[in-house]
Amino acid sequence: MTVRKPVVYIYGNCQAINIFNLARLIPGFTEDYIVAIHHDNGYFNSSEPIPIGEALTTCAFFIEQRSRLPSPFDKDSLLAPDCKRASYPFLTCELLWPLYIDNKQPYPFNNPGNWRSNGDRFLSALQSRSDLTPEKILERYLNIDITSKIDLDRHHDFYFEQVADLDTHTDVKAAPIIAANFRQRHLFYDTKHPTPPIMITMAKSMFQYFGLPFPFNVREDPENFSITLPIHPQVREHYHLEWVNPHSRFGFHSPNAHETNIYLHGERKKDGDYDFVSFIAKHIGLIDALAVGPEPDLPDRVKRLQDVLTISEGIRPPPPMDRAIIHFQDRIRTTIAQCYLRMGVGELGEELLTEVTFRNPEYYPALLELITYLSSKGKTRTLLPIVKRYLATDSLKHCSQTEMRTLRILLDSLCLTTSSPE
Amino acid sequence: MITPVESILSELRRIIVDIFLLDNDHGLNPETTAADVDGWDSLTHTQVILATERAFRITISAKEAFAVQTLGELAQLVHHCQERLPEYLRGGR
Repeated sequence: MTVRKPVVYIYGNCQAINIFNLARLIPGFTEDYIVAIHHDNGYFNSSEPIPIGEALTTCAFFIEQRSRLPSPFDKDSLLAPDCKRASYPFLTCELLWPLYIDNKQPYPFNNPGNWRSNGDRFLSALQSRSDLTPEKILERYLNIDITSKIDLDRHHDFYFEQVADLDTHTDVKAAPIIAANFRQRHLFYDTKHPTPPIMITMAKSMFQYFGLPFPFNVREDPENFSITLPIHPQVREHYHLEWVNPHSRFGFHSPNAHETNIYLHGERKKDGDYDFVSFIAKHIGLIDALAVGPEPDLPDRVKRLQDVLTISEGIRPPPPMDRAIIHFQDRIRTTIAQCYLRMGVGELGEELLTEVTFRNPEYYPALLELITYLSSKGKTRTLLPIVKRYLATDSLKHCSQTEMRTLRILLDSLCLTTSSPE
Repeated sequence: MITPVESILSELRRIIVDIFLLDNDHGLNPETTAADVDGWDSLTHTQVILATERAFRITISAKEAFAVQTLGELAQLVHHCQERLPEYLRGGR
């Protein structure tokens, strides 16, 4: 008679799929156990074939996600009496997106497939007004002092109170992990989708609860913000978030993206990466011209960008949005320069990039573009003083690892060196 | 005569219309549940509670906030929270 391996049965939403995937990655784990996932939408999968009913009634370990809603899944009468059970909470994080609204007007189109979109209720309210142009919407939105409308300290306390309250119903707790890490680490992509660091931490707690092996440790946070909902600068500053900065760029996904799962790997249908203000401007349709693609109408695009630049120069929001809009303007200037380079008027592009680079040293994307251009033209003599000036500052500290790698390759080719900001 | 709870309910309707960008408050009554309002989920419930706290100058615990099932129950909770306050702090906006 064949003895079946013990079954580890995991129930919950897409967060449970993360635990299922992690379990299958544990070396040798599926040689000793069958891992099964039962999504609350009915989806079932397992590391080797087993009928769902048999997996449930014979499982040795049952890992269950709990939310505020009563579970529609009646498993108590089906589980074996000696089945070991552990529960964990549905991880949510409205803390970092206090304006979140599950919205009819998709913003930021950042959710794949047909998922309901994460929205911003102040922005949506402005967009719903037929009397406001995109320029006026941007101006009014950037002038909203959200700390005068939402008590972010109370928001913080209420958030943790309710997470801790949900924790009282689960074996593995989320509140201590989030509280200890949310300032330093990138824990959530959006209000309902945790990143690998927090999922690994939660999964490790669950497996240790059962005495099962779990050899993974959190090593590093997700590097890019490709699927991260933009963080409002006032939220970033109020909570002193360290993992996001004024230069952080968030992926903008087109409304017809066809992804089915936010955690699936592979190329996403992304329409560029944008800092907070550029993201808002793109969302409201003000700056479609910002993404430099293979369009033939570059002169027309330059004209549109210059118009947006003129509009933005009339917007004078309060801090920290004032710095955000300066970055936004330099993003536009950098894009105009990129258009010039493509149009074959390199001297205009070089001039504009140099202007941005010297006037706003914090806006490092212009520097990267300038270095790339000057390197390609072999203009080492022009390049050297610029690079030396930058290396003497900490302007590159916000560069992503990928950007730093690119910079290193460029500088190595010029026999220059730089230290990593990591 | 408008009772305190009816008066609270009127303000709560305004809050719900404001947060969920409703055209009007016609569909909002004491029996209204979160499921009846497009977009009112456990996450946006936080905004409803914080806006309610601000409007009525009260504090609602998470346990109380997530125990209410209807708009009428939320109005009752606000009334209850107001009664916990010293008289000089009652009244709302």
